[in-house]
Order: sequence, then structure tokens, then C-alpha cells
Amino acid sequence: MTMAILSVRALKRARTRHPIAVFVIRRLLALVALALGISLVSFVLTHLVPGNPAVANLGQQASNDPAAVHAFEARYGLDKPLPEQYVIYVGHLLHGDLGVSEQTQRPVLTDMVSYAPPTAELALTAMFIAVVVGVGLGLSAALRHNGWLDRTVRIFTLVGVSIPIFWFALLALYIFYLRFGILPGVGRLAPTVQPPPTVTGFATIDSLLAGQWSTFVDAVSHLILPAVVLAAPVTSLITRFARAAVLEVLGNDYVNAARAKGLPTHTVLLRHVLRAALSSIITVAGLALANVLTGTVLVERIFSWPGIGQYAYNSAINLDLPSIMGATLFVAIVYTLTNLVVDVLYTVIDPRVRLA
Amino acid sequence: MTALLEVRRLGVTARPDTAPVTIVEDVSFTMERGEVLGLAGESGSGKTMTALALMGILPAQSRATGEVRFADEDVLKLRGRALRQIQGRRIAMVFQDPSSALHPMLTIGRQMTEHMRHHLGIDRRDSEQRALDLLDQVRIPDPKAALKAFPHQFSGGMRQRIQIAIALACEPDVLIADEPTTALDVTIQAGVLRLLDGLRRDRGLAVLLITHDLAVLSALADRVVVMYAGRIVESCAVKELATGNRHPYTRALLSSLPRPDARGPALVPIGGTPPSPAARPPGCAFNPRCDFAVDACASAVPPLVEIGQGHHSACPLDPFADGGPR
Amino acid sequence: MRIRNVGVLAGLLSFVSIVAACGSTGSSAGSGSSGSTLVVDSKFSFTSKDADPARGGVDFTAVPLFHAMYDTLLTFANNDYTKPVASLASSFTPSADDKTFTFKLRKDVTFSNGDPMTSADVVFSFLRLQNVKDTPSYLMAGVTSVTAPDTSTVVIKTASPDPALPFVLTNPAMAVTNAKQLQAHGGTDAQDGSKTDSATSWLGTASVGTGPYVLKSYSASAQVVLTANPHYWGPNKPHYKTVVYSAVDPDTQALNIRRGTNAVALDIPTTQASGMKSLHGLSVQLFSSPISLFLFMNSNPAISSTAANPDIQNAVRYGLDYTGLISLAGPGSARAAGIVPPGFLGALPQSDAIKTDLAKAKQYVQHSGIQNPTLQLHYQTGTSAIVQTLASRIQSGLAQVGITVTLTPQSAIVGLQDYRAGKDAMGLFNWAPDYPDPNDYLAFIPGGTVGLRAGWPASANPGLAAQAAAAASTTVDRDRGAKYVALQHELNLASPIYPLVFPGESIVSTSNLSGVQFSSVWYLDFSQIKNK
Repeated sequence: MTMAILSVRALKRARTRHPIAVFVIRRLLALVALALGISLVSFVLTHLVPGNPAVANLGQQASNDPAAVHAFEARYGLDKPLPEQYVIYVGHLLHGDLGVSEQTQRPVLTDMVSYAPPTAELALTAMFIAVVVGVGLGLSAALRHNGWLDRTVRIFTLVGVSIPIFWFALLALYIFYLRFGILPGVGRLAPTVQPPPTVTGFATIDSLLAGQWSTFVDAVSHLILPAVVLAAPVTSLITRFARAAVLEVLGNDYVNAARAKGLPTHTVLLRHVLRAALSSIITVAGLALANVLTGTVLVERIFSWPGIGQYAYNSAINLDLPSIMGATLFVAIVYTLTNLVVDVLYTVIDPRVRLA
Repeated sequence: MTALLEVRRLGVTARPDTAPVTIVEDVSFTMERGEVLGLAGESGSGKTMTALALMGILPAQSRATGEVRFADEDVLKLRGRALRQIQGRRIAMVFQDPSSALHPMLTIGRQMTEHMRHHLGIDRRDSEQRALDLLDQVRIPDPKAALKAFPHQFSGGMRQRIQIAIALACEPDVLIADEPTTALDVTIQAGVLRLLDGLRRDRGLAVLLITHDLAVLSALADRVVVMYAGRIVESCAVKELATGNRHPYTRALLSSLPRPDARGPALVPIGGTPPSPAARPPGCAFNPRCDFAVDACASAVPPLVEIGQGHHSACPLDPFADGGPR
Repeated sequence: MRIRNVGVLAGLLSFVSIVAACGSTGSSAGSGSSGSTLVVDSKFSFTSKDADPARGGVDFTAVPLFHAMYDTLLTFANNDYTKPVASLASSFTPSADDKTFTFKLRKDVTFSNGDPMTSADVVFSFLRLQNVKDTPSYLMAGVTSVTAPDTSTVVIKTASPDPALPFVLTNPAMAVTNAKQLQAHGGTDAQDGSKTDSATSWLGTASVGTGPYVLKSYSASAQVVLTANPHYWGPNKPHYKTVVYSAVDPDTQALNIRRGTNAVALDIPTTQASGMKSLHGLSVQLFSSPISLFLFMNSNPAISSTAANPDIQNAVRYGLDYTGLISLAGPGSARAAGIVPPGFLGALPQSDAIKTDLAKAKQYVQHSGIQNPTLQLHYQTGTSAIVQTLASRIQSGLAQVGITVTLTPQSAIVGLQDYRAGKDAMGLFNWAPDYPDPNDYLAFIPGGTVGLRAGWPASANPGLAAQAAAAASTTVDRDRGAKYVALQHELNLASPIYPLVFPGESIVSTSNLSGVQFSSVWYLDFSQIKNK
């Protein structure tokens, strides 16, 4: 009783002193509940798919053999009633055990650890390109509202969002790899290049850590094409939003006021204009990250990129339930954390925003 | 003696290359040190555009013509660093809407000190000390806390005073104040006006006071320029405004305003609406709304002619000369 | 500077920085450049399951790896798949009843870690395969015992006469693995191996075979790197120091190979590949895959009385536009004269294939008495592009004889389930040979695996079932071949399963390579490839 009162008081005190920390902790607790909810939904969905994992995994001969099917089902607990399977799954989940992949025969968590960094490396690079180019173009277009640059950018963004990513990937490969040979083809490293020892799982960072300069250059050059292809649609998205946001900001007197103060142009643009447009840009960047993660499924396939996208794809076509669940949870948690980061950033950027 | 600021035949054209629209045309006036010049007119008469042109911050798609002489330079021809050394440093501006003229995401302290540090080359501590003095001067309670606060934490009146403090930070020679009191209630209005009046007396600050409120003008200004549809229609000393006005528009503007003494004739709103810059009528732009218009009014733009000592009018008719409906 | 100019500059700068980054890395483009590395592009997705011969085994995209890392007791030579020859076993002797097989092992074979190979390794490998009860375990189906009377002799006994056993032993899943090493990493050949064996994930990091190459590394579903086995026992030492087996989307393989050296691409669509014949520096091979595409109609009236009607079945048999289907299947494709692929024992010559006879087909339709016969054709999407094309052609072809076919494409996972449960009225599916012996095609007889899927139990045609059983247990090879030829003639006339086509496939390689040769068992033998 006293404990409860004390903790309520402590909470209140903490809330007034560290509103962001309390907000983050509350959201992280909610995340745990959310993860359980997502696991239930995805568990039910994947088990509702009218396919049989044993049939999908065992070959044309073995799936006819009751002994092999039984061994498979016993191995993955598929012979138990569905609710019991879920309870067992959640029990393991709470201990950080995501089960064993039927495909790779490794713990799903181990798979995640090896497949997530390549995706993160690709997605973060794509996001970096998309934000830098998108904000740059959006800002330029807005400052030249209705000018030739603005019109060009509008066409560019229209093409960017409507271009099929698959086609764009092949076109980019054809031009930069086959035709002119200025960029390497698919994969993370050239086949003859020895991968650096894994520390972060990012080929670029790991090669730098290992002091292998040529490996680093190779990793970066392999990263460019898939990242640009992945970035193209979201660059358009960010450009459009940034342009609209900057246009809206430019209509405010505080921009005129900043210019009337005689401040250098870059100060006006960066500190005043972009700062004000930042919350819109961050909102769209959060959305864009979701788009980028979706895009990785296709881009990773075309560019032979060993990431979560390929892992999820291969798991899905083989009905590898533990892996599907693992990938789903992973993506859901990334989405939720992104949202959390966006919400926290709002409050950092805009003092008018109060955390609820 | 040369004037502090001299505006000669100022014109502002929007989209000069594609679909040109004249917004301000043939505006000329001068300002002396310590003088308060009122710039009056309805919304859309080109007052604010005139001010932005003087500041050198017209919107991207507009172009200014004519001359703005200040400190032996033509402000309109200045670019880059040379322009920025006048902006904020020697000519400063207070914007109309205090709710949008302060950056919502930057602290008051930053907004007060950034141009001080840029122009005056002083460090953070000195600029903050100076900001504290300024805030105190415009009567912001607890200036120390105010420096760390954001605009949304202040009332409209306080924000307006903060704006004025920001504008005054680099001790400019000219202050352009665009409707500085419109958003404020009467007591605060009076405070702001007193503040400006004091500055003009103490520092010799020249103030271009833009307003559609002739009552404010009569309280503070020395001279008044009345604009309509982008042109000056009448200019005179403020004491002549009420009694010696010549232009029908000036009179209409006066009649449409509440008088502080409340003894005059009942309010008479001006019939019709001011024309948009793209569709200004030929001849005298006021003629469709003018009670005294004759056919000739629609044929040519009447020039601004001197009709008395320091008194100019752009109406050749002088409809009130016979002691008519005054 | 005006405000807007800076904005333009910002935009330009961001572009320039990217372009500059592009330019600075130009030198590292291209794949497989050094003479000591061979790069093979495949559409495979490698998992550690695929590195364990006892579990991965039979996937066509993984067999070249097994073949490079592991040897089998017997193998094939010179592309002759009708006669197994010695490999790890120097000789083998079947008993007169084909139920006991005695293998003498070579004594000079070492594993990649230098350990000598003994009969204990063979016994362990085979029993482990049997007991993990995974995908390839069926290969051990009829085997009752594997024993080692001495260190260089292995005896395999089967429950019934099994003349196909030597053929089965060539399958890459029958790899001989180092028992000591596997046991040290959780491998077991115990009966409860399906629960207790845990060596699979370790096998994703190292190989324990006697083959010319050893597993160096694999980066998950991107590439497998093999290096030459320093202890390789065979006469031909591996030519390349490193072989990189890359997972590359078929669409990008065509780009890769054109910039490659020492490079091979396995999955370029045949129409595209035949267009690449004119390109300088590439050599293109087109051949028919041993994976057959066949159509079946369900003979179980409970599923569809129309499909089960013998007249309708015959109408389809003679109404199919076989010639049109072959040309649609693209360059390299071959007509499936019978269900056994060309090159295998007992394969039918092309001339023995059923010929289209529309008049006969129409008569059958009329005779059936069924007005407007309508059939639902099930097939899997996403497996191969030509399946959809062929299904449409079957639809339009059978429309000419008055049979309406509605197309029911299904995803691979969902489609397989109904097909394997025998619930599809009409289906278009494929069969990959598990080992190059006609016994594998007993699946297509009444009561066989595929027969049952077509609602065709042994009781439906006891004569054919008996004929097949006789062919299966015939011991002398020549007679077996003849019996299978006769069996397929009968099947072609009576079966509700119609072999259609062996679809074309391609191997495109840079023309500086020799020895790039398709094999219907291990697909590609890396150790045969050399620089010219």
C-alpha cells in the first residue's frame, strides 16, 4: 500500500522532472504488450494459411512418408493443439527464445542477428540518401516555387514514386554495371574479396575496423546501387513533403523576420526555415523508413543482399513458421521504435509539443 | 540637409517575367532622423510590400524598381553582405502578426541575440546581457526566464514587445513597424506607442509606422502618407489630416474609423472593396468607389501634386474646396 | 547571394557527392576476376540445412555444392547415367537376388582434414541419413541394414530386390561424411536421430567430406565459398583455389555473366540465353531438364466425374497440342515421350510419343455423353514462368475438342497440399528425379505416389501395377530397360497422367572455360571446369 503510494509519487515527481524519460519508459512497456499482441496475430495468421509446413519443407518423397512428417512435426511442436503451441511459443519468447528456423536449423534469434545488419546497413544508407537529396531538392524547389527547378523536381518526384522498383533496379544495373562498369554488380562484396571479421555486421564499418581500406571501398561501391534504387521512391516522397513544408514555412513572417535581421543566408535556411519544416520532414522520414523496409524484400532479392527481406521471403515461401514469426516481430518492433523516436524528436524539435 | 531615408518612385512588380502584376507604383517619400512617418491605407493598398522593399526582403517572385537612398547607397541595388549590413543593423522591422513573427521553435534568447552577435561581433554573454536590458526596457517581467522561454509561452502583447526589442537590438536608425498595435488591446497599445515615442525622442530613431488606424497615427506620427491601390493618394502633416484632407479616399478612410472622442459623425464604411492588384481600374484607382468621381477620373492616373506646404494630393478635383460635406 | 541560390546549391551538392562517390570506386567493378577463382551464379538460397547432405540433399540448386564437397560410393562417368561406376568404392557386388550389396572401399581416400576414410564412416553416414528422417531420408527406404565386416568393406541389405540401389548411391545425399568429426559436433546415427542429431548448423560452417572442395564460408543466402581440398585423393586435383557459388536473381545473372571472367550462370531463361549465343566471349548450352512437366486427370469420381470419365481422359490424351506446348516451353525443351527422362535407363525415343489427333479426341468427347465437359486445372504459380503459359495453351487447345478448362493457379505452398492429398481434378505439376533410375518413376504407376495423387490406385489397373513391379525388381539391366520401355508404352495409352515436356534450361559460361557440363544428377561438376 505504502509502496504503491510511494511509487505513484515517485512517478509524478519523475514525470515533472524528466517528462521524456518517463514517456519513453511507458512506451517501451507498451511495446512489450504490443509485441505479444503482434505475436498472437501473426501466429494465428501464419497458422491459418492453408498450407502444411511439413509438405512445404520436406521434398516430394519425404512428405509422403508418415515417419518423416511425424518427425518434422514433433521437432517443431506442430503436433500439439494450436493454443498450446502458442503458449509454448510465448513462454520461449519471454526468455528471448524465438525458436529454431526450419530452414536454417539455427535459432531464429541467431538468424536475426546475422540477417539484420545487412538490411540495416542498406536501409540506413538509403534513408540517408533519401533525406539528404529529398530535403535538398524539396528546399530548392520551394525556394524556386514554380520556377524551372521546381517544375523539374515535380516531374522527378512523379517518376520516382511511379517507377517500378524492379525495373529501375535492372536499368540501374544495366547502365552502371554492364554498360559502363563504373559500379559493381550484385552482392555485398566482390566474390573474390574476403569479408572482414564480423563486429557490427555492417560490411563498411567492419572493414574500417579491420583496417582493410580496399574492402571498405568495395563494400561502399556495392552499397551504392541498391541503396539508390531503394531510396528512389522515398526520395520522391520526402522531396514532396519537404517542398510543401518549406513552402508553408516560407509563408510565415518569422522567415521574413530572420531575413530582415540581416542574417547570413545559410543561417536563415538552416536555423530558421529547415528547423521549422523539420517536424514535417521527420514525420515523412518515419513513414519513409517503413517504405524502405518494405522495399528491401525486392531490392535484396535483385541485388543478392543477405538481409531480413530475403530471409522473410524465403521463410514465407517455405512456410518456415518460427522464422516468419521472428521476422514479423522484428519488423513490428522496428516500426514501433521508429514511431517512438519520431515522437520523442517532435518534442525535442518543437517546444510546443507536449508528451501525452 | 539630406534626408535619412529617401524613397524615389518605388515600384514593386510581382512575377515580372511571366505574368507581371504591379503591386506598388511610383511611391516617393523621405524620412528624417527622429521622425515618425505614418503610412496609412486599407489592407492590400501596398503598405506592407513597400516595407518589404525597403528592407530588401521582397518575396522571391517580386522585383522592385526605383530607388531607396539610405546612407549614400541605393538599398534596392545592394546584394549579399552589403545588404545584410543594413538589414537588421541600420533598418529594422517589426512585423504585423506577433504570433507568426517569432520563430516558434527557437528560444527568445537565441532570437534576440543571433543578429547582435552577427552584426555587432559581441560574444554570447555580452549579447545576453544586452538582451536582458532590452527586455527590461520593453517591460517583459523576469527577463532572465524569458530568454530561455519559447514564444508560445507569452501573450500577444508581450510577443509584440519582444519583437520590438529584437528589432532595436542593434540600435538601428530606421524602424519599420508594420501594424505594431493592431493585435493588441488598448492599454498595451498605448504602452507600445509610448515606447516608440520615447525611442524617437531619446535616440533619434526614425519610425515608419504602417497602419490602417488613423487614430494611432494622429497620436504618434509627424506626417502621414495615405496609400490606395499601390499608390500614394495624399500626404500631409498629421495635424492637417483631420481637418485639411483633400482626397476623397482619405476622407472615406477617416469616416470609416471610430474616433476616440466619439463625438463626430456616425461611422461610414467605405462602399465596395479595394481592387486587387491584378484588376485595378484605369485612371484613378479609387474612382469606382468614389462619391465624387467624374468621367475624367477613369481616363488618366491623376498625378500627386503639391497643394500646400508639405501637402500632396492625387485628386485634382478638390471636392471639399467649397466647404462641401466636410 | 539570394536565398534561393543557396537552395539550388544544396540540391546540387547532394547530387555531386553521390556522383563523386560513384566515380571513385570504378576499379572494383566486375566479378570473378582472378584466375584462381571460379564464380558460379545460381538462383539458390543457401541455408545450413542445404549444407547437411542428410537433410538438404535433393534440391537442384544445392546439389553442385554437395557434389563438390562430398563423394559417394558410386558415381557416373562420361555423362552415362545408365551405369553406375566406382568412386569411393573400388568395386561392388550385388547378390543374385539383388538384396545384398557388398562394397569394397578404396584404401587411399582421406577426408578433408586428413583422416583416412573407413567403412565405419560409410555406415555412420548412411544410418544418420536414415534416422534423421528428413527430406532425403527416403533414399534409405528399403534398406534393412548397413554393416562393416572389416574396415574396407560395407554391406547393405534391402528388404526386397532393389536393382536401383547402385543408382541411388550416386545421389549427393548419399555422401560419405567423417563420422568422428560429425559426432564431435552433435551428429548421431542412432535410431532417435530425428530428435537428437544436432550437427546440421555446424555443417553450415565446415564440410566433412572427401570431395575436391571444402566449405570455407557461406554468408547467409548470398554466397557459398569453397576452397580446394588439400587432401583430395582423386587423380584430378581441383583447378581453382576458390569457387564462389553466388545466389543471384536470374534477371541479374544475365548482366553478371556479360561482365564476368571465369564465370558461369545457371538460371538465365532459355529464350534470353539463346539470344546470348551471338555475344562475344560467352558460350551457351541449352538442354532439357530432367524435371518433367506432366498433366494429370483425377480418376477418382468423387473428386470430379468428368475428369474420371475414361472417354474424357482419352479425349485429353489425343486433344493436347503437344507440338505447340514444346515450342511454348522455349529453346532447349524436349517432348516427354514417356515419363522417364532421356538419358536414363528405359527412356522412350521421341518417335514413341503420343501424337495429337483432334478427330479422335472429338469422338471421345462425343462418346462420353457429357455435355460441355468442364475441368478445373490446378497449377502452382511462382515456380516457373512457363507453367502459366503452358496452362493457357492447354486451355485453348482443349477448347478445340469441346472441353472447357478453367485455370486455377495457386501459390506454391497452398497448391502442393491439395495436389499431394489427391484433391485436384486436373493438375499441371512437375517431377524431379531423385536418382537417375527408372525405379524412381514407379511413382507414376497405379498406386504410385503420383498415381494416388491422380486418384489412380493399384486396384484401378492391377495388370499395369504387376507389370511395373516386375520391371522394378528385374535384375539384369538390359531387360529392365526393355521392361520399362514396354511399361511406358502401356502407361502412355492408359494412364490419366500425361507426360508433356522436359523444359529447356541453360548454362551460360564465359568462353575461356572448358568442362562446363550439365549433369542430370549433380547439375554441374566444379572439379571438371578448367581455364582453356
